[in-house]
Amino acid sequence: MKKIINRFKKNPMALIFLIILVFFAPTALFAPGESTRCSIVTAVGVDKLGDEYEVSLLTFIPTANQTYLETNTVVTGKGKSVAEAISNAGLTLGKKICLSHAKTTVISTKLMEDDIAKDIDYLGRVASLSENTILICTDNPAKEFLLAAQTLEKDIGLKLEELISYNVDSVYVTDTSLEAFFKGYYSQTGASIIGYLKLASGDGEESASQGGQSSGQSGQSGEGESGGESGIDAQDNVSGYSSSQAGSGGSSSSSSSGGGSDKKVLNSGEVVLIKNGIKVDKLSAEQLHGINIINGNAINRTITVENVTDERYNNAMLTFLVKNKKVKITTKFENGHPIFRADVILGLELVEGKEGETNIRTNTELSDISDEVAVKVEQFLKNRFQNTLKVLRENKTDVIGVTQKFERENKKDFRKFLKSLDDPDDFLNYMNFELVIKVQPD
Amino acid sequence: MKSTTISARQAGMICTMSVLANKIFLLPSLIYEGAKSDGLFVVLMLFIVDLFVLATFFMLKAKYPNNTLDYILEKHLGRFFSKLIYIVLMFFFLFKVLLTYSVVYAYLKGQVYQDEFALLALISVIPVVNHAVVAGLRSFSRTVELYFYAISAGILVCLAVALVNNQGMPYFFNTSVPDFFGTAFKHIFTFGDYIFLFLIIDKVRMEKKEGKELLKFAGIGIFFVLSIFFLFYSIYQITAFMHNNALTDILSASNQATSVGRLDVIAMVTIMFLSYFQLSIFAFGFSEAFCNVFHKLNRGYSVAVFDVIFIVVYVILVGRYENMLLYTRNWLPYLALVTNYLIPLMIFFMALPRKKGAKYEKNY
Repeated sequence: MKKIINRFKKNPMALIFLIILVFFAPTALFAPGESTRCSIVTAVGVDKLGDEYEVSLLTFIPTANQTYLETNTVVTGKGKSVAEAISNAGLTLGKKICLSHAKTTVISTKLMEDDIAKDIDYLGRVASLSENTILICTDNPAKEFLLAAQTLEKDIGLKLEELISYNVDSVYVTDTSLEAFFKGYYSQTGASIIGYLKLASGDGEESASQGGQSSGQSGQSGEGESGGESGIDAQDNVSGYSSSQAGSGGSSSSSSSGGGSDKKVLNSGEVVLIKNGIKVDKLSAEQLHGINIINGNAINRTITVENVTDERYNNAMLTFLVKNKKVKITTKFENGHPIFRADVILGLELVEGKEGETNIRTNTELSDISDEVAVKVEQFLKNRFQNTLKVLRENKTDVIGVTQKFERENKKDFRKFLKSLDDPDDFLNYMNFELVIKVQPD
Repeated sequence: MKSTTISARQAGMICTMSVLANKIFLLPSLIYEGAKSDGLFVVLMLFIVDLFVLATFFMLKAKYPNNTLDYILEKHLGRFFSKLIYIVLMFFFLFKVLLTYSVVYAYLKGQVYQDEFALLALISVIPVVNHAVVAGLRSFSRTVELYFYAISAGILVCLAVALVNNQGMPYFFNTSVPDFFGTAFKHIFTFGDYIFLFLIIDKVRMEKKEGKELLKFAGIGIFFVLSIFFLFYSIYQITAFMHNNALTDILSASNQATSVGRLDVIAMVTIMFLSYFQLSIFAFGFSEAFCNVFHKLNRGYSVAVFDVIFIVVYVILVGRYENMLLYTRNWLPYLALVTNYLIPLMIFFMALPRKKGAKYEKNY
């Protein structure tokens, strides 16, 4: 014993270590699991009811089961501020709300009739919520959306964040996160773009298919992914699910424990244009593609051109896959007029073709792109860009980075140009756009 | 002699650790608030001044290779002013510990605990810091040496991941001159870490160009801080004022980064280790100054006094992290004016050659 005491005397840190161990080891060993103290939120929805905010939280409930399915529930809380509403939602669960795993923030378009920045400011600042949380909007209340999203996994094994992640990577191909919204909001233009998803009733639109199989309607000519809507049926057909909200927790919060929804999430690749925090317009998937023509990251998309007649094809419909893309954007002033020029080089691969009612019976792998095809593709893309530009001009929303580019490259001239306008906000209407497209086989 | 001294390399590593203190969490955001992206130049400017302080250290070390700062100050300024300078430095390092502790506490509260954990934090920090100080500079610097590359690797991983995030060039030259210098003044207390070297001037061995090592590691620290600032402003640009934890936020800005899990854990672990060393360095600075004010008291007393003052000031006066930041921006810049500029300037004059034409012994 004396030997041990002497050893500790010689090494006081060992004693301190022992004391820490004695104090904290039992507490740590017998402490309940973190999941019993914290509720893991995977999506946040914000609505406004009168003067109060209603925050809905799609919450993961850790339960032991023998399948890969996760149990989720939507919990709501009301309060005068978003922070208060989240705190009240915690009352329902009897747990602390942990937002670290929240990958999606949903707001209803109704909220966007007024400046939403003040409504979601807390979410932008709270440290536990990741900066890259994707912001999406829906015409329905956010709560209803989360209830519908809740059944996605049960029905087709698709989590909401996976769907959103797919949209961000493959459809929007632009940053639509909460952070990107604030960047746009605080920028000179005040414009930003966020994803849009809608809900349809179970017996609603035909484009939605049972079991989540996509039944996309492709347009006459256009982009593959954007041609139609893929429906994801989130109909309440699972036993034990109820579309009603059950229970009320705390003074100002309610929970729909295990509640499903008879609504289904429709993903049509649409986005919403926001100016100074207010929704100004909605862009269809085709219009969004118009913006993405000058986005170098937007590849692996299809372009379909019709009535192609050249030495190889006769009145054919050809579908090309954009395998690679190089975009160079330059800005300049000519005689006092600003010019925004985008040089786009597309590497295309022919993936499908039809001549009238018959398939093309030649190998398309090594096919060259004739001048006629190149002109058709060029014309198609220019038209699409023009159509989108029209919408952006009408809404005075610069979401293609024109201001940023001019501010960096021709700051003085650009500011002089803005000053010369009666309405500097309307500068897109006085801007010349040059889109130069070069098409080549991949 | 050798048993209490440290190599220039070890001193350089201590410099790197201390330079990173309080600059990689909240500071980029606070500086952005005042000087926009030109905050990067604010930091650069303050570092350039710090490098002059480092140059002064080299000059003084060349002139007095084996003498203590106490001896040098007494020789030039007399006993009273020497003590006064040590008292000022004592407060400087005490507030540095308080600021570092407050910032790290707030960071961990927000990112990890999401709740108050004051007692746990004190119990985890105080024994380690006490032991680092009591064990002495040599053992402490050897521990720093042991962990240095692991901590550097953590920071480099954060920088590498941040490089692949969406980013654009920050908008420079958008702030006014008063805002620029006003912001610099508000945050000078966060700088001036090289003053620590003067306290241990007699304990740093600088044989045959070993000074280069010190300079190299000081440069690494500055490079880390400037890189974090640059990447933070590149990634967040106009929303930089909304983000409080630069090192973590540059990691978690992209979808790709978080799709492979919570990569910010790398930043958290790095910060935890780094903070222990920073707190120990500043606590050692306090202890060294204390021992020079009260010659008869040994390091054990200095540690006991430090603990009491630290806990009392933190719990009663500071209490909240916001208060500490308020003091740092409103009152402590005046203290920093003395410690970061006035004292080094006085030392610079002391380090000037004795006779006309006399040369320094080149050690860097």
